[in-house]
This record gives sequence, C-alpha cells and structure tokens, in this order.
Amino acid sequence: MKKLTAMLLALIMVLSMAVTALAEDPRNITIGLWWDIYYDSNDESWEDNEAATGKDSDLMRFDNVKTIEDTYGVTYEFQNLTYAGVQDSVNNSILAGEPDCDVYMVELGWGVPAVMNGYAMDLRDVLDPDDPLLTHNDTVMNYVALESGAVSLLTVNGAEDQVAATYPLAFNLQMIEEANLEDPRELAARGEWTWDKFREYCIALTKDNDGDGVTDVYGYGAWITDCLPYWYMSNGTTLASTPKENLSSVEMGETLKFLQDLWLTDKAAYPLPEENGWDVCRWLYRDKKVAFTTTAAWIMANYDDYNWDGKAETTLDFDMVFVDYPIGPHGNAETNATKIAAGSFYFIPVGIENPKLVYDVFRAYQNWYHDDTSLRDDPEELEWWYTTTSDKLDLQEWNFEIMKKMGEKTVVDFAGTVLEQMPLVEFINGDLTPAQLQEEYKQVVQDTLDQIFGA
Amino acid sequence: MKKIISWLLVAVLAIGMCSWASADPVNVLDFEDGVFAFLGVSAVKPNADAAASLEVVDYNGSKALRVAAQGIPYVALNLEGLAGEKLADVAGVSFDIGVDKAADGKFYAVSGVVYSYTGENADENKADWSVYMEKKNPRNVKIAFKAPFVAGAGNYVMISREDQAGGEPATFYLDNIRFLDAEGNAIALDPAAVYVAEASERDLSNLVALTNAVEFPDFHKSAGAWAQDGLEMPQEIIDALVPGSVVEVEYASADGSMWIVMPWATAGWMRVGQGTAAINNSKNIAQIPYEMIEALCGEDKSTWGAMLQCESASDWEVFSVRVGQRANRIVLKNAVEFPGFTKSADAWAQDGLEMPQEIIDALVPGSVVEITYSSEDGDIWLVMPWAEAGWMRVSQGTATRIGGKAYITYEEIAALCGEDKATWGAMMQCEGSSPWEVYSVRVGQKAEFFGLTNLVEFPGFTKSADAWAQDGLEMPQEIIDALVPGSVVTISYESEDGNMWLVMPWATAGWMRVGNDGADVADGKIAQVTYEQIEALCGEDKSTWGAMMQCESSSAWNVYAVAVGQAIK
Repeated sequence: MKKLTAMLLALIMVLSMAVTALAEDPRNITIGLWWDIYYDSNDESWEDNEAATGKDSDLMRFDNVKTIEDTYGVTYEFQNLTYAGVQDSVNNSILAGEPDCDVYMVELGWGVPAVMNGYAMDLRDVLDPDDPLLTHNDTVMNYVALESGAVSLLTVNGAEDQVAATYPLAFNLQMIEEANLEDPRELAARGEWTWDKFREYCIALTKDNDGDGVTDVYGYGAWITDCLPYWYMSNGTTLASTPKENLSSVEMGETLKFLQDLWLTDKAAYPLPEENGWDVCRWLYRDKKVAFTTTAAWIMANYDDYNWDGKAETTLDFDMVFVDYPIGPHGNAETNATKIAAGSFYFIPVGIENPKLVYDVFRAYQNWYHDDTSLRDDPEELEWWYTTTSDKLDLQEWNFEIMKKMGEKTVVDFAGTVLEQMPLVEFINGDLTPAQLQEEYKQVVQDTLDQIFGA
Repeated sequence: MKKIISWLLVAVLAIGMCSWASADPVNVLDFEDGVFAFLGVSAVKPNADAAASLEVVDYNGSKALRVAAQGIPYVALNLEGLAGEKLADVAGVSFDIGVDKAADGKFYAVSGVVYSYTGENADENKADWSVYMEKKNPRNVKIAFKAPFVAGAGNYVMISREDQAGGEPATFYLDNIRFLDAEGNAIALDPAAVYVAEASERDLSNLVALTNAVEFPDFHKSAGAWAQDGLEMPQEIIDALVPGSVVEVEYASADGSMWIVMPWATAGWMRVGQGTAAINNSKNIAQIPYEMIEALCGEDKSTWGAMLQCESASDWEVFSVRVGQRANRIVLKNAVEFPGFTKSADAWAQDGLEMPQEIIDALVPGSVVEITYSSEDGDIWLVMPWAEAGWMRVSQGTATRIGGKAYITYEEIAALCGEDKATWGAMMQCEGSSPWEVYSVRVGQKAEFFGLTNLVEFPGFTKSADAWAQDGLEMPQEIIDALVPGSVVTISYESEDGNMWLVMPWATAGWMRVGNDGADVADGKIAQVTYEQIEALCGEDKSTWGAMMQCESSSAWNVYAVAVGQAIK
C-alpha cells in the first residue's frame, strides 16, 4: 500500500511538473503576411532560406533568432496567410476580439482604413513616452504619419526602403553651367530655392536654339501625374491623405496655378502630348529637350543612361543632378513631406496580450544588424541605386543622398488612385482653370476617399 | 477517372444554363445526394485548368464537393437556373470551404476568388476567399455581391482557387452553399438546375479552325499511359485526309499530352505528333496536320494503313476524332455591330436591312463581314439587291464558315459589285439554301490566328503590370532556338482593353514595341506575334534582338503564359 501511495505521489509530481512545463511554454509571436520571410523560430539553418548565400548578413539574420528567443523568452514565426488571407484575418479575427496574429503586414489601401477603424494598436499607448520611435528617431523602425496622430503603421528603416519610390527633381548640370546660372543645390542650401526662383530658371533655360520659332529646350518637362504630388508636397500639403478631400484647399489651388502658369503663361514646360504622354515626358531629358525633370532611378535605368549594367553601347554625355524641390508659398523645407508611402507596412492589432513585448520582439527581428547601420545599408548591395543615376562617384553619392533624404519624410496619400480620375492633361493645356478643376472634381476625390476609408 | 473525364466534357464550355426539371427547392446546396449538375468546370478564363476534377466525397463529417486541379480551377454555378425568379434577390453567397494539407503534411494558406457576372452586360466583379490558418480550416465564407443579377443576361457565379502559400496545387472542398438575399436569408434554390456546355466556348488557342469537318464515327477510346487504342478509318475519313487537312482529337489526359499512332503504315509503326502536335492551352484538343503524317508515313496515303490510334504519355480518354480542312481562326478588330440585324427566313428567301453609316464606313479594303448564324445545311451568303451592277449574291457557297460564323471579305463584295462601294446600294441581306437564322452581323478588320505546332513554353512567364508598363524575362536558349522564320510567339493573357504586344527592350536596333501597329492579332485571351514582325523591327539577325522579351498593353494586364510555336500554314 505504501509502495502504491509512493508511486501515485511520484506520478502526481511528474504530471504536475509536466503541466507546469506546458504552462511555461514560451509565447509564440506570429506575424501574418503574404510572402515568405526568413528567419524565424522554425528555421534550423541559414540554408532554410534558399535565397541566402551564406554571407555575413545571412548568418547574422539567422543567429538573431536565437538572440531574440533568449532575450525575450519567446519564439516567433512568420505565417504566410496569402494576400487575401491577411485581409480576411484582419477583417474577421480582430473584429471578433481574437486576432489570429500579433503583427500584420498590410498595404495602405486596406491598412489605413483598418487603422482608422480602430483595428490597430496606437503605440503611443504602449511605448515609453521617450521611445525614439515616437519622434521618428529610432534607428530601426519608423511609422507613417496619419492625420489622427496615431503611431500604428510601422515601416522598417533601411536605405533601400527609403530611396525606393522617390521621384526627385533632376537637372542637366551642363545646361545650368552653360546658362551661367547658379547651381540650384547652392540655392537650396541657402534656403533660396523657391517656386519663384524655379520659374525664373525655367524661363531662362527655355530656348529656341536655331531661331526657327520653335522651342527646342524647355526649362521643365515631366509627366503630370508623376510630378504633381511632389509639387503640392513642396507647398506643404497632400491631396488624399485623410477621409476629407484636400483638392479644394488653398495650398492645392496655389500648386495648380503654379504648374498651369509654368506651362501656359511662361511656356517654359514641355507641352503635354495627348497620347502616351508619360512615355514621351519621362525621357525628354535624354534628348536634352528639358533642363529640369521629375525622374526616378527606375526611369534612368530604363535606357541604361549611365551604363549601370555594363550593357549600354552609349551613355548620356551630360550629368543629371538631383536637387530638393523648390519650396512653395505654404511650404516648409523642414516639414514638407517628400515621398508618398508605398509598399507594405506593419501594425500590431488591438486585442493581443502584451503588445510592448510584441513590438520589442518585432523590432529586435528587424535589428539583426544590432544598430550598425553600415551592415544594413551595405553599399555593395545598394550598387544599383548608385550607378543608375550617374557615372561619376561624387554625383552617385549626391543623388543617392537626395533620394534617401526624400524617403525620410513619407506621407500616406492615395494620390495615384485619385489623380487618374482627373483630366490633368486638359487642365494643364488650359481647358479648365485651377478653380474649375478644384470645384468640378472635389466630389470625385471625396467619393474615391469614401470608398477607400469605407465612409 | 471516369468521373473526372465525364466532367471534362463539361469543361470545354461556357455558361449555357438551363433547368431540366424542377425538384423540391432547397435552401442549401450540401451535396448530400451526390448531385452537382448545377455547377461545372469553366474554361472561360485563359488560365483555366479545364481538366480540373469534381467529385462528391466525405469531408469534415458530411458530403462535400472536392475540386482538384494541377492548374487553376474555375467552378461555375448556374445561378439563374438555381435561383429562378428570385435571381434578382440574390445579394450574397455563403459557403464552407476547406483545403487539403500538402504532401509534406503541412498546412499552407490557400485563397481564391468568387467571380460574379452581373447586370445587362454580365460585368465581372471579384471578391476574395481564403483559408488562411490551419485552425480555421475549413471555414465559412460570406460574400456580398457588388451588383444585382439580371435574368437572361448570362449572369452567373464562379469560384476559383488562385493563390497559396506553398505546397503543390491544393485540393479544396465546397459545402453548404447558400445564396442570400439582402437580409441574409437563404434563397430557395432549384437543385435540378443544370450547368450546360456550349461548344462556342471551346479553347481554340494554338489551333486552326476546321471547315467541312468529318466526324470519325464511334471514336471514343481510353487507355493507360503509353497504350494505344483506335479504329480502322472508314472511307469518309480516308477521303477527308487530303493536303491542307488536319486530324483533330478531343481528349483528356493526365499530363495533357496526346498524339496519334499509325500502326499499319508501310513505312513502319509510326507515332505522329508526339510532342509536336498543335495542342490548345487547356490541353484537351490536339491537331495533327496532314503534312505531319505525310512526313513520317509517306506521300501516298494508301500506304498509311487503315488503322488510326491515339496515345499519350499518361492515362487518356479520347471523346472524338474529326478530320477537316484547316483555316486560320479569324478575329475582327475594331468591329462595328450592324444594329438590329437579327433576321430569319426560309430557304432561298432574303432578308436584311439598310446599312447605317457606321457599317458603310467600316467597309474598307481588308475588312470582313462576319455573320453569326445557323442554317439547316450550314450555308449562308450575302445579297446586295440594290447594287448598280445588278442584284447580287455574294459568296454563295464559298463564304469562309467557322464555328457558327461566316466571313465575307470586302474584296469578295467588290469583285461582284464594283470597287466603288458607293455603287453597292445601301441594302445588305442574307440568304441561304436552307432555312436560316442570323443572330448578328459585324464589320471589322480581319486578323487571323495561326495554329501552332512544336510549342515550346517560355518557363516562368507569368507577369502582370499596369497600362503601358512592361515586364518580362530573359529568353532561355530553348526559346531563342524556337524563334525561326515561320514561328509565332503566342501570349495567353487578359487586359482591360484587350490589347497585348511584345517589347524587345535590348534590341540593338533600339527599344522596340512589336505587334501594336494595328496589324496585331489579339482577341483578349490570346495574342500572336510572328517572327517576321519581330524581324521587321529588330533586324534579320536574331542575335541582335537582345535576350529580354517583355509584354505590354495599353491597359492593366496579366500574362499567364508565353510560348513559341511553328505556324501551320
């Protein structure tokens, strides 16, 4: 009997230990997204990522998993839910109060409405007030500013993410020099690079070289939907960042008038073609038909301007230099947004346990480089971004820094969706005044925003 | 296999819908009685896997419809037949959906689309479904339709599986389908509704059209991989085998391959078309040109032997064999509809309408009149009764007739009525040698699709982009090798405005768009660009074309596949 009792006691102890062990299983933090990301607690080797080659950064990323597990006492995993699955999970499980995942990857089109509908944690309620994220000063993470001020839509810092999708203003350096104009970079550095100065430059650079009455070179040329957002951002505003349309704002009216004047009154901008205008306008600079243009690294890579891949038989015989957009009457060089947010973002849903821990783990995952940004922003891996815009090292560096600076001040703006519904070519060509465009299309913009924000 | 194949018969189709006999209405389609004739596999989408299989199985404690496919399956429901008079009340759908784990034992998230075709124009709307977590597999999906359904306008609903996080193409299960009204109440459905095949929806990609086709009687055979079966050719088939003819085999096989075997040929036991036959993208119709048989079995067809068999590298079933004269498929570009041209009459009676200005304007050299019709003996032609040259029958017995359409060219009319169309008279009529009915008449520029043999697929060419954006891949060696004079690049695609062409960005001659010069051949599903079109822009030496091949359109586009084949001419 004693032996039986002892055995029972032993069994109870074993069971109790097992239950305790089960209870102490580390928390598994899940990140829901729609493609495969490495590494997480399910990976056993750096080679689990077939794209990895074993370079130092691969090994550091893999080793980081163990560091996180040891530091925070958790495991974490990425769950590929498919694109539709992420949206389903966001819309169903968060609303039901039981989020499937601790972090979600989202796109702006449905991520912003989700945030505005209260699906996402506002990290101002979670982090210490002096956390550098809240002031955009964190090395690893950043967030997209929303009108409400909520710190919810997270982005990951990195030079490549910053320079991607930027559309800098560029000028033909030799044209500026030949016209004996001061380098716009100098003006920008002194805070004198304004819309008025830009108009002055464009007028001066517009030329009929052979005296046949036909303009051969225009001061500026760009496709209107490419450039318009950068001009209104330089005037301190956005078009479609909030549930209320902003087409009718004073700042937007100024921007529209500025551009229409440049094209119609000054005749200092390349006329917009009725058909395939984007195709014509994006590459005017290559034929020296414009002195200034709105461009992008991918535009300059398209025809291999400076032989970035070593395949070009000829390269441009002039330099394109990036410069800040000049500042409009309501703009402020310090605060103007300079890039429209694009790509994917993250948020932590409401209703999960210990969101501070989740944020810390997610940040630690992103910080595989342990704050050494030279590892993250390895110039070798960023080579394409440098070599597409120039064949001179100093200009490559300069242009890259301009793109990077633009990427530091990102704003949500559903401009792309909105602008395609507006007759911008007709507007630039003078069929509508700025006031008419604003009045006739403000409701169109509002209807689109209502759809996006689910009003 | 039999069940799979019986459904393949349904897969070649579109949505013709009917209800044979009313049964007791139900609120839910739960498959408990094993009946699912109200739905079928659709081949309407260019990337559809027409060989998808449907089967009622036990799943999650009840019966459910199992959908298995290597490619993308589209399951279409005859909503009009199901909902009947309540069609306009249908505002949403609810169904249970689950997916199998992959062969590695893991769960991978799977998602797809619920397509609804609504309104007078059967406009396409999309809503996603997903099974995104193992703990929520299966799950209930509820979707609100974006627009109301209209009777008699070809409105229906279709469910696809399109995306997944990993593993092999997932089998999924549908159960408890309810169509809901605006209040969320289940609408009573007629389970006797039937989803019916329509021949017009046959996937004719890579194929030629057949004229004067002769059916090989009773050619319904099946066998295992690498086994042959067939029949002795009756005299009418032997007679139909002449230069310019083609043997067409309608089939199903697990790997999509199909060819014919001539076992009694004097030249020896011969496989013909193995890996070289023209095969459509749905891989359910193969065509073997006469010249391909001739090349192997000899010029004298009396030495070919009377036996014709079929064979595949996988289990196969052949449903029919036909022999006919080949004609390039014709597509009308910039087509103008002749308003109100719906006419019928007895044999040798004419009926028609005065041509409106837009039809007269569309009649220019290179244009063609397309007549969609039916007649008892298959014949139809035009009559121009007010022509100054006199009352004229045009193309009597000679019009090109393909698949319920007849084509009469501008030049055929001009040959009889004169080169100045102002003298043709305004009246255009139709006539036939048997009772006839014309459903529509259109005039447009004629574009012809080639049938393609020896298809070489461009690996991984699945791309999409916005309007005027290009995307593509560097050509692998097998594609470069296949690009020879007489070859054709075929693009399986969708785009909002139907346009599609190639871009050769690295050509030495410069960045080149090929096939968007107005002479392009594209029907919204398939675009073809010939070697000669590329050559004309990029130069005679293909080594100067550059390795990159891209696609582009003037509207947002998806390309599902690119291949290079040899044109059947």
